[in-house]
Amino acid sequence: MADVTMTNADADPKLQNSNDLVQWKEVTKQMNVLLSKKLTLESYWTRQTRPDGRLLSQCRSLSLTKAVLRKTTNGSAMVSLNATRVVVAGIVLQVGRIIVPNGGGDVNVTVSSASSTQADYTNLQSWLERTLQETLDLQQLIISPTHAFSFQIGLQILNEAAGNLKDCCLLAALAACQDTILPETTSTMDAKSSSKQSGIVYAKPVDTNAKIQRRIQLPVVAIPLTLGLWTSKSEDDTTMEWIVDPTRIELQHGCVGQLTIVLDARTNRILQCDLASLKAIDPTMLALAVRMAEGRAKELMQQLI
Amino acid sequence: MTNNNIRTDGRPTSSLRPLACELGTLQNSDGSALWKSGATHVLASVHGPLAPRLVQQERQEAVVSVVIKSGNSSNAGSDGSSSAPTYEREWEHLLTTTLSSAIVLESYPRAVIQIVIQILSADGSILAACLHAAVSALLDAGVELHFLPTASTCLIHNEESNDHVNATISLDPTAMEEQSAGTLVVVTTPDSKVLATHTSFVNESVGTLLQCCAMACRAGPAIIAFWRLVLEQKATREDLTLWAS
Repeated sequence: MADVTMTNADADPKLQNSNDLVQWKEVTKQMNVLLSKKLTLESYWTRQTRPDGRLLSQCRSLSLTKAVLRKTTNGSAMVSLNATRVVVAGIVLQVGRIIVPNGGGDVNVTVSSASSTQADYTNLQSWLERTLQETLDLQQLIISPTHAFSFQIGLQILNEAAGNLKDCCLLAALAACQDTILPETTSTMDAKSSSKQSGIVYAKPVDTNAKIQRRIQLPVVAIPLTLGLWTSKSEDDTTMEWIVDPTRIELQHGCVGQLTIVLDARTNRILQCDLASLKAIDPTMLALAVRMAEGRAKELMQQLI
Repeated sequence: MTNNNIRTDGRPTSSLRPLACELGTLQNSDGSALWKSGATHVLASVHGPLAPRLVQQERQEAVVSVVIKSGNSSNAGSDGSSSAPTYEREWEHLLTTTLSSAIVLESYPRAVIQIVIQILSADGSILAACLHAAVSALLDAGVELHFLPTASTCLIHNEESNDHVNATISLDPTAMEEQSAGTLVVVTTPDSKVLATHTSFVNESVGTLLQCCAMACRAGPAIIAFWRLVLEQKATREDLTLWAS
């Protein structure tokens, strides 16, 4: 944090006048606020507004564009926040053997960005894999009792400064899943057992002109909402507020905690509720956050269906 | 589960498994603890506060670092079946944030507190056991804490009856129970507030979420009372050892 301090102020003869000294201190304090990101954010939040003009409970407008990478992927989508392109997701289907008995397909997520190293997104990758495994019906990826498709999802972050990567990445991944066409498969005969099912399985090229196309079905319409937690200290007590759809600067410099809620937009039931905070909150704050997530789910459901 | 809300191992739904904790298990660390919750065994060690590397010297308070290690052979359930995949990176982030709020970081400026957690045996409620082992190791190391955070794993089992879906919540599930339903881990403070949550395969209403938070708040004092017993035993043992004639 930038710290502007007074040096030799009392020894300066020009500032001997006490009124000038008070004014000098006031200007120093204002400069401190402007140079400190945390104090700048708090000066906006105490007035129930944000640097980009939004209210504390207001999200940025989000747009989903599907099929942006037709030639190189089986399914793709792009997410933009306020006309700023944030994330592009591409899905490539690979044929693999089923490892877990009665199990379905597999999901592997890779997140990358031109500006950051791979290690920065390990947590995000793990969260995306877990969420997609919990919300997708992986049984529809089964080809035969021994083989199933594997989702290889690659996410490219175009603008990290926009923040709220969890929401953008999950929505892009789900939209790309919806855009994915499952290819037809063929298998070779196994010389030993004379059975096609124990031979090698190949995926045929996808015919986009085919009358019947098998697309991925989403059993739930999972809509995420990320909120930052801000605590404001006044003379009387400490109040807590949710900052909806926080930017990266807001999360890093102003918020003391982060909550991500994933709801099923059709039934308004909670699919995920992950909170990590430096300050403990009352359980009623969680209920308030769920209500905000319901509003967000209603707003975005039409875009994802 | 039987009709009287008694589980297969004979426990009621609101009962925890038998707890055991040994402090000072490792000699080479500043603090260590072996936490046992039923068949789930977790070993935690604390190193620090240590001097940081050059880039961290500007921080005015300590930095907490948590690493979780789990061996493949230890991830078997009590019946020998393979368990669900674990997400250690997410758990590390959650534990780092939780312990950073609990430790008095201002007391250790420009220092690093390293916590290494080894999962020896996994039989359900692993994240909660990891947190309790880490807090026990911090107590053994004498690190100053604002409060004692406690974690409770709530298994949410839905039963359909008369066109209604009733959610039955069980505390501290085993690995076999976790395979059949979703779980919610709630980290609470002694004043019944929520510090962190982590869900797995849930599909619940907000009412069920609040019920889980309430159950976790009721279970927290039992774990804090257990820690008091453990520390009293350690103090008594050291007293007898140091002053034995």
